[in-house]
Amino acid sequence: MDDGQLAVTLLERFTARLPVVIRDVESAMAASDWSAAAAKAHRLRGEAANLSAIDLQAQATRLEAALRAGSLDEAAGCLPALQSAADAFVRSLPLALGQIHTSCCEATSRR
Amino acid sequence: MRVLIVDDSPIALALLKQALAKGGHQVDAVESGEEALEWVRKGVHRLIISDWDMPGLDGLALCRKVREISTHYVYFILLTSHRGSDYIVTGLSAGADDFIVKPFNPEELLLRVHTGERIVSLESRDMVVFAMAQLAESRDRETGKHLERVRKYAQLLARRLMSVPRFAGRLDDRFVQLIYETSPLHDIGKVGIPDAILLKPGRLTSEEFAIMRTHTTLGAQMLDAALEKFPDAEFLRFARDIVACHHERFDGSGYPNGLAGEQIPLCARIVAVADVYDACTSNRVYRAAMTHEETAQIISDGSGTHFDPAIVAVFLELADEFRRICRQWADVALPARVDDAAVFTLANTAVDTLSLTAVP
Repeated sequence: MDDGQLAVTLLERFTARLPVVIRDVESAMAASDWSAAAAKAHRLRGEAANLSAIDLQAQATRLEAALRAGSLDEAAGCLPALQSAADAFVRSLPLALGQIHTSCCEATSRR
Repeated sequence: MRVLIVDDSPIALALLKQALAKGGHQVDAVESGEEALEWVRKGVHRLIISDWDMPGLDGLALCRKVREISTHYVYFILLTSHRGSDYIVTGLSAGADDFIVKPFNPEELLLRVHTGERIVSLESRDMVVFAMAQLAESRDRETGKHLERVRKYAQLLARRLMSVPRFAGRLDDRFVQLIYETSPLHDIGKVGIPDAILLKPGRLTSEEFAIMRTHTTLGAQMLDAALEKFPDAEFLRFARDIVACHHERFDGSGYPNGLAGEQIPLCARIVAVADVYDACTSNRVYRAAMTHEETAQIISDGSGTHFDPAIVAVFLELADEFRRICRQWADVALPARVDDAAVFTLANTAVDTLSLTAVP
């Protein structure tokens, strides 16, 4: 698999799981399982960073820090921003996939 | 190199795998510390890259486990989003060798893996060289400390000789390291000497002694064959000089070739002193160990005939250190036989090391 194909596969996989991941974080918080919630936020942050989803990464980082610091009100306050960063990411996906496709085609035609 | 990667995120695993495969590495990927541990027990990987934060067995705990159960050195790289010296200290204390901050840069990843590869190959090379020497030695020695002492004596002499003007430019840290690594091989050719001669309790006849002397040329031939395969392996060339020439004498009366003075490679002249010192200060079936003073007298008397006078002069200055090594590494009885598992591990390590050495 070349880099372009891999990027497309991973972006699609990440996007498909994103709603479940956010729901899992919310459920853990609703169940007052703060360490599980922090672990899930941590993983989301890492994956977002790997895929250069900068805003999503920043919001997940804020949430994780608030959860680890035990600032529960602040953590709850992070959720709307996280959700809107996730929505923005999903909206921008077609554009990102299009750019990957174009750069792959350019790379192929240059060969 | 075969690398084990551990990350609970399939996305991170896929990215790591892609980057490592591009660098020509063979990759096994697992999503938990527990699965990684199963691989570690098989002892297949010399390099592990693990995420730090994982549910269950995390990267730190995995690293501690690896240090506890691995029979050979495993280079361990922790992947982390943590920055700061506290985290580095925690990681290093758990036994990690290096860190990569996420999200990683593929070029940096490959460079760090390359560093790990070099360190692992050096470590296992030294181990294999020493183990080969021990196998050869195990036939005719009752104890196993001889090689350890000889390499320490040789290292000591070489380091001190660095400050002797006559040797300036010929001796450096690399030389000292090489003599330490390869001097244990000095009698490797004894593997080719029949038991009837090697283990004979009494005095050898002149015919038998002639055969015994061939251990120098037999050993040199073994290493020459290895050098044909790996002509750039400096340590093999160095070992060959020691093996072939450590029974030459400064005045040209030694064997196998009757070389004299500077014709004898410097490393062999150094090992000659170290080997004779150890032989004299060790117990033999036919005599008790000599004292340091008696041995120093013998070596001093051999200055200019048996030994290079410059090396003897340095040896005499180092009396205290020689005494200390002799005491610290005194012989103890060896187990009756080498167990099969150890030989098997050794054979596997040897195969690994040769394949590592073959990489330019």
